[in-house]
Amino acid sequence: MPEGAQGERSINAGPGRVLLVVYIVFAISAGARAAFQIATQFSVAPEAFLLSAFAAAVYLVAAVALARRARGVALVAVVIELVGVLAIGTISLLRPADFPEPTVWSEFGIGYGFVPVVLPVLGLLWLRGKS
Amino acid sequence: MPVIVALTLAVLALALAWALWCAVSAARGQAPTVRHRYGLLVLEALALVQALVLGIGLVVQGGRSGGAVVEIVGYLIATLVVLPIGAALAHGERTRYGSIVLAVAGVTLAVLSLRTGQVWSVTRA
Repeated sequence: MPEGAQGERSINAGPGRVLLVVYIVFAISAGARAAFQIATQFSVAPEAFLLSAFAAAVYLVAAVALARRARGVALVAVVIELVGVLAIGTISLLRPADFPEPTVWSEFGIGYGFVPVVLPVLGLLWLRGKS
Repeated sequence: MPVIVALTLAVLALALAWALWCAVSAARGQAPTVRHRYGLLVLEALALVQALVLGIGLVVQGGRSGGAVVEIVGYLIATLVVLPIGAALAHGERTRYGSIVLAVAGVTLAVLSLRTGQVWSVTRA
């Protein structure tokens, strides 16, 4: 793989490209799920569905920032994502009654193979080494 | 209609097999080859067959709630776009990471196909 004149490869190449595809998949799946739930059964669990929509927005921002090589924006999005999944994951375990409907971040993303909790860690590790 | 569920499981199995192939290639440091891309085309054709069969099934069978129909159609659209998205992202990434991108797309197609079959079964009239 020829390196560019800038020496370091950009944040959307190599491992960054893999992160990008995962973020796109999560932005679409979380977004579609939130839109569907808000449209069809909003009154059942409005907080959970709004949280899903927020998570989808965070994934979307991270995906766009990665694609456009906006490292700062990507970093902010990934930090929000990490804080969100850790907070919601913990709260959903301590007070399950608050989450009658699962969200992408419930129980640290168990419904999504725990990818939601691993992804921001990998994202931080990747972005940390880039300037 | 077990035929439908069998179809979704077939797509799931082939998508996983192709994803595994891509992952093994990545582990050996190989970028995607033209043969990986042929495999992707075959899978996409299969996903298209799946979408057509289930789409026709939705119309012919009827009896599902509007929400269930929207959900199934949404999943079918996702099964059709995931491989092209993966191919577009892997394009230009001529390293092992291009192969990992394809593997991620394949696993995603498998999961989407599984979910499609599950939703199809539980929302049966």
